Amino acid sequence: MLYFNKFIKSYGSRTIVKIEEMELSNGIYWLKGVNGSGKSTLLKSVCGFLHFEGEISLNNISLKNSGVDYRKKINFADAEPIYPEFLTGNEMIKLFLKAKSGSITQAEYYIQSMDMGSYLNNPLGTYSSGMLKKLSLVLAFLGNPTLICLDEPLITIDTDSLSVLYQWIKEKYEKENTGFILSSHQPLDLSVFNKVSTLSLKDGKLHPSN
Amino acid sequence: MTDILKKIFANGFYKIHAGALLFLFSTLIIYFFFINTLGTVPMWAVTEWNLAITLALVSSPLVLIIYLIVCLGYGFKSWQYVVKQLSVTHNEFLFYSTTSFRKYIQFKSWFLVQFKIFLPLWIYTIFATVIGLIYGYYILPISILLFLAFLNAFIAYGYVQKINSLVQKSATTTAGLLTKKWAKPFFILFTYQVLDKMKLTFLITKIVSYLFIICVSLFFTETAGAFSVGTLTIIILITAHAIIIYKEYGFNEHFLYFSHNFPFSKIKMFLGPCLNYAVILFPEILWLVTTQRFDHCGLIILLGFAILLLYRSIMYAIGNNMKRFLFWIFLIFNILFLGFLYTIIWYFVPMMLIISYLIFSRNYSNEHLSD
Repeated sequence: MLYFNKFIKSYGSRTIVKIEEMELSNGIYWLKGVNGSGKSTLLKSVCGFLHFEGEISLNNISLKNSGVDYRKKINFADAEPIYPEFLTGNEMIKLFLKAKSGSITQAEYYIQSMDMGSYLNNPLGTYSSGMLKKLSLVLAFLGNPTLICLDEPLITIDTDSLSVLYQWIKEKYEKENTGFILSSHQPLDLSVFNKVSTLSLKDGKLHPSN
Repeated sequence: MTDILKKIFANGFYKIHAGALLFLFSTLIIYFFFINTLGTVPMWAVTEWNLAITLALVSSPLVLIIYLIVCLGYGFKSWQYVVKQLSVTHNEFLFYSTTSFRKYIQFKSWFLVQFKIFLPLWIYTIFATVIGLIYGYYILPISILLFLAFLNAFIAYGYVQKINSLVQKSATTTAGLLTKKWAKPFFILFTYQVLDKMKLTFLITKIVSYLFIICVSLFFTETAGAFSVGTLTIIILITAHAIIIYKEYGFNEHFLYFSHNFPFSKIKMFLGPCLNYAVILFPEILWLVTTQRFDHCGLIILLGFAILLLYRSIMYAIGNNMKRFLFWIFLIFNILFLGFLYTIIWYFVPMMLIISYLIFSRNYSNEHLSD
């Protein structure tokens, strides 16, 4: 369960998102909003990247008071991931496995299903944006997160990989009860999931609807 | 096209290299002209000496060669910067927009871009040439001007060739190949970035650092191993690494941004990068170990890391802003120097560690990043 209390994210005097109080039960959420509405800012605040006022907690673990425990339970994939160019895909995976306490078996499953094995030993500087995106999605699924936030997961990747991603989300949610917040301009393929709740971000306010 | 290219490359070059250029052209050259010496020096002597320095450039082949080497180094550095910027994703549009102009128009634009980058060299060269001509030196002044014009045109031609050729992405770099099988723990990643992408910056820093060490060894032959000499040296050596510290912050916030989501405590994120610097500063640490007493050496290294952590934390408070960073480095360096003169520098160590942790802790979830 994700809990917001007096949450305000602003840049200078400009408030981007303001949530007085809100509880999001475990589930799959589709975060909608026009360009510049603050979707990425909200996700990055929730995932511990950005400073904000107020409080966010996940299953009663506060981000501000117990940052390490909180970050163990929340993973993130960026809309346009950037990684050190000299590292290889495998080295990035090893780095994340160590940080997020994941297992090699877990990583192998994601690598194989996304058919990424052939280029993971190459430096990331040679990857296309689609390859980087797929890698960022694999990294977001490593470890034992309670919540995974994916920023624009539908962009850049091909249709085959998209159906694999939907499958991962479905499995992770049904087998491990992992929640998801997916920010996207494009409509999600709702037929894959049993239930998807919508969160609309407009004028700095978050409006939940089923 | 010229304005856009100037804005991206020439302005960008000055912005990135503000620190180094400030040092090179303000500190070195202006220092030569406006230095205040101890005691009274008659005005005629000041003018004569300054004139002699400038005239040496246009009359002495040795000084001329040194100046030409400086021009070549500057040209190489600017070439390296522009080529690197051309490979950045947000500049890729230049490959399919500027290339539709005729080659001589492209050359003219790139020549003007390089001219702007070379502006400090042009100003100084023209100044020296005028002085040379006034005093009856003709061959060398004209040669310098021609050389600079040729270098400017040659580099501009290189840019035109580069932007019109097909992009070839190498599968790996030499550093990448050499370190392929090495472990890459998180807190050592910046060292690999230095080896991979910052070789020249690293080399220049090390040259400055070791030049200072050589000067210390030459001037303090009797007391090179003295505690106070080691203390002063470490203050200067860490300050000489300010550009590396500045670049490390940029690397962390750009390429390691994902790590803000890692379950690492703040203290780990604060102290972890010391591993990087233990490797980067290895030559300096080696010098300390071989010249200082063991217990003194430990204290001096502790002071060095306290200064380094303070400089790093300043970056977290001000963001990627070279001008403000230089201001703070200048201020802190002077305070440290006063602390050294009044032998109270050791009281600064715990203070610096506490202050730098507080600054880091407060600014780690960076306010400067829009997202």
